[in-house]
Amino acid sequence: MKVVLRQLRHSYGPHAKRAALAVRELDVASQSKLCVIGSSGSGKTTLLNILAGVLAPAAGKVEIGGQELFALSEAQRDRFRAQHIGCVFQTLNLLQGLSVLENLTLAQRFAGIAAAAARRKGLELLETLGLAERARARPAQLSLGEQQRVAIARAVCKSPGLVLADEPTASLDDQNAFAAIDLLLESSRQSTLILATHDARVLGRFENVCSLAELAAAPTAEPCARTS
Amino acid sequence: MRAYQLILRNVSQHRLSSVLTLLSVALGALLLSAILLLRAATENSFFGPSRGFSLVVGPPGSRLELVLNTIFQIGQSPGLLAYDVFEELEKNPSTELAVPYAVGDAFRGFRVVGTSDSFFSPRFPHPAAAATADKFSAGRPFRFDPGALRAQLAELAAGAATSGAGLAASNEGVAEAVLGANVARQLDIRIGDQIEPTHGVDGAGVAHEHAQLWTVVGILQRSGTPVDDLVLINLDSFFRIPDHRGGIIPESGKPAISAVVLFPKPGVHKALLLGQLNKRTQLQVADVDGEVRRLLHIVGNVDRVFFVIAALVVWIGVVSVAVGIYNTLAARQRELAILRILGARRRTLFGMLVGEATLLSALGGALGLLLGHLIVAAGAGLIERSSGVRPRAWLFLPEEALAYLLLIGAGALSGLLPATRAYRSDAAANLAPLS
Repeated sequence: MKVVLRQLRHSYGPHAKRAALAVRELDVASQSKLCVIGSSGSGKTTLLNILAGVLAPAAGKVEIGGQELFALSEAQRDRFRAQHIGCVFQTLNLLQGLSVLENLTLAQRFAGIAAAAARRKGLELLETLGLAERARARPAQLSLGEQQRVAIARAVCKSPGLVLADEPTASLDDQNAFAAIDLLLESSRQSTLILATHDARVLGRFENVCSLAELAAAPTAEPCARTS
Repeated sequence: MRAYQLILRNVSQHRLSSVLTLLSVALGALLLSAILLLRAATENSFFGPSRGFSLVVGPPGSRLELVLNTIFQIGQSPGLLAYDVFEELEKNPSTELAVPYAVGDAFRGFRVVGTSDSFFSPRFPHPAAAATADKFSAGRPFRFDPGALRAQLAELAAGAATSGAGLAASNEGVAEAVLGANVARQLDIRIGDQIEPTHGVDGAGVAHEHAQLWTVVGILQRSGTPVDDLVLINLDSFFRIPDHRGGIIPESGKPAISAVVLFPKPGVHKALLLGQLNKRTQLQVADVDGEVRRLLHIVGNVDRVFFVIAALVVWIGVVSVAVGIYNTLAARQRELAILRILGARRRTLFGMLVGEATLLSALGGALGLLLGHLIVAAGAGLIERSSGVRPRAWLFLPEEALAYLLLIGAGALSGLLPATRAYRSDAAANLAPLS
């Protein structure tokens, strides 16, 4: 899914002294992988929330897969997100009341996938991740690394066109961080991936890296930067 | 995964809070159920024994007292009624059955009633008889000799006119007793045993013991009415009791009984009898159904107070559902935000929380009703001993079903407050990193 941002601005409250986010122009081609970097408070999470459609920007246009996101009603955006967007968070955010497998099937059910198919896909993914035996476990019974793998699996299990990842490695050690990034890149091969982070460890895995400062300053056609 | 499964998982995830909320609803439902059951038992204890009765004729005084004394076996007899009245009523063309009642004695705490064999007529109400076609669990009715009774009454009247004494001791005849089911069971009396009644209906102060013994010839089926606690003796033996001053009206010297239970023929005959008897000054007639309704109306006011208290407790329980869920919302904001990110609509979260409140109310209500029945079942014996009312603990009342449905409805309404808050919650704000 191609992502197009134009003159995007957001600030928290009408009297905020500075914008929480400003993106003049950004085009992310379908199935490409973009890493957005920025320090804490620079607007990374705000950007991803806007892309997920749960935060309406103060100004600007957001187009995903040719659909102008905020031209949709909130309920339509919810539906769009359920079907086309997968999210991974820094704090894992698995539903603690559900089992590992149920976390995976629930995401697919919201996307309109039938229960049996959702379950089959969930089990397949867990098998691939080496977590098949933990399908019935509660998230709290898993290690942090395992939880992040499940969170990534939940984001990609419905085969979304766009995967958004917000600091997915922040709470992981080196080994788990690299494993998580590799899994994310591998499992989102068919999707557009936008990852926001300030974790320098992951930059080497991306060809396209942009800083939020660059995005705010000048029109940027992807790729905005190429790491070595 | 379906919505109800998600609700169940939420309830089980916040187990402690859910259980406490559920218990507060259950407490209200328990109280309501117990009050409804006891009210039903009270009504049944009044309407049950009086069901099938029509009129009671007795000496002038309180009609309610007459009904209570004759049908419910409560309190003292209002006075004496000339035996002539019974004979007159028996012959009245509007009468289907007339049953004489003579009280004033007791046997080991159980009331003794002198009556005729008409007491055992199919027309005389006995709840067990409909099912078994037989009022007796053992034995037979006592023998009743109207001829002997008439002779004794004549002798009694003559004796009262001269010396005031009762019948001659030599004038002996059949002295037989039929026991109510509770009397036989509690005193472990069997057919063929002999009993010895004493003066005084409460059996507490034994002033005098009769010289005569009564042979137990029959034991009645349990009826769940005050008849279960009666010792019935043939009226001809009742009047033969030496020194039995209660059997004579002092002013007229006429032999007397306590009351007549009257069953009019169908149709207008009840109204005819009422019209005839209401004109008489030496007696009064009480409509059993009317008196029982009047009594229940008095009792009903107290009952309504209890009902309001129970409704308030249920309401507190329902409010606690809202408070319980509302309090967990702060901890669940992140969870709700994740659901939004996964694609759940605001109205899905709204429905989920209303569903959760409904589920807790339904489960709490069901638990409360069940516990209410269990507690009433456990305390049924104690309630019966202390009040004489035996609640039917496993009878599920229509009022309970209605209260349960209202409780579920109120529970769903109580979920609106937390559900509205969840509906309005900002997913983006609640997804911020924890630290």
